Amino acid sequence: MTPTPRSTDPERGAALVLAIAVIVVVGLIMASLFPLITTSLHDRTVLDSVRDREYAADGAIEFAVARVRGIGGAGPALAPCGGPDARSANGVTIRVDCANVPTLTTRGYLQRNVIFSACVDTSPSVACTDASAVVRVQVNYETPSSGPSPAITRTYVQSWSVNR
Amino acid sequence: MRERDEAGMSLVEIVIAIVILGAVVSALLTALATASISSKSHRDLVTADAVLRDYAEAVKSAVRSSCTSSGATYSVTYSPPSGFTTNSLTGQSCPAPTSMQLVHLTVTLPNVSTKSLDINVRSP
Repeated sequence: MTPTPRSTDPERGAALVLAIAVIVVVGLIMASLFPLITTSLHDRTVLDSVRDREYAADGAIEFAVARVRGIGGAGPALAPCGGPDARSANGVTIRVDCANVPTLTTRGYLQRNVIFSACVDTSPSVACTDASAVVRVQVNYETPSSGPSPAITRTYVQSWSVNR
Repeated sequence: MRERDEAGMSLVEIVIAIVILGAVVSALLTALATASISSKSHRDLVTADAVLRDYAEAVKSAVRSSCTSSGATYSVTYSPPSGFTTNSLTGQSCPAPTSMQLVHLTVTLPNVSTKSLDINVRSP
């Protein structure tokens, strides 16, 4: 019996090699696209949490601004602005610290300038800093200078900064 | 006359290659379809975020403009984009002058999933 001679054709098996090469290339392309999809969905989750934090801070600041307005007694002999205040929303507890800042008193009105800083409440003993603030607000309160304990009659928001 | 080593083997290889390529193309098309669905889903989520923010500002605006007297109520008029719906806030009691009111906002997406946001509002 005569044995079959082996082929010496150099192109033999090329189709299979090409198919495997295509599989590898397509697999690499798909593997690079998959993180693109998952990353965008992950980013969406992060942005949702940022939005939740922003609105929680927004409400907490509004509460603090209203509370200080109720203190009254604006003017050179400022009472402390009080605080810190804490409010929760969207599963986030926000702490708001306030500080009186120097006030230029104009004739006929007494003023109180207050800076509010709202940050995520990580610990009751940790005050908000500018670096950790989600929202930082400066508010000017004014009241007529007459009367023993004048009530605040005007409230101006002078700045409202959001730090994402 | 054909030589013996050219008979049949190339055909088998091509059939195998066609099967493999078919599977690859099928997987590729499935991946493209998934990417398309994912893109639509992501676009809806981004729109839902904008809708929630717009709705929240509409609520705050309604409270500021309506809650100016004791016992007042407020209603929010807001039209979300087509396919999106929001929870109704009609005839809501205004927050007391010295307190905050927690308002729950919900947006339903075209794929029926929901996104929500809680905001604190106060009377002016």
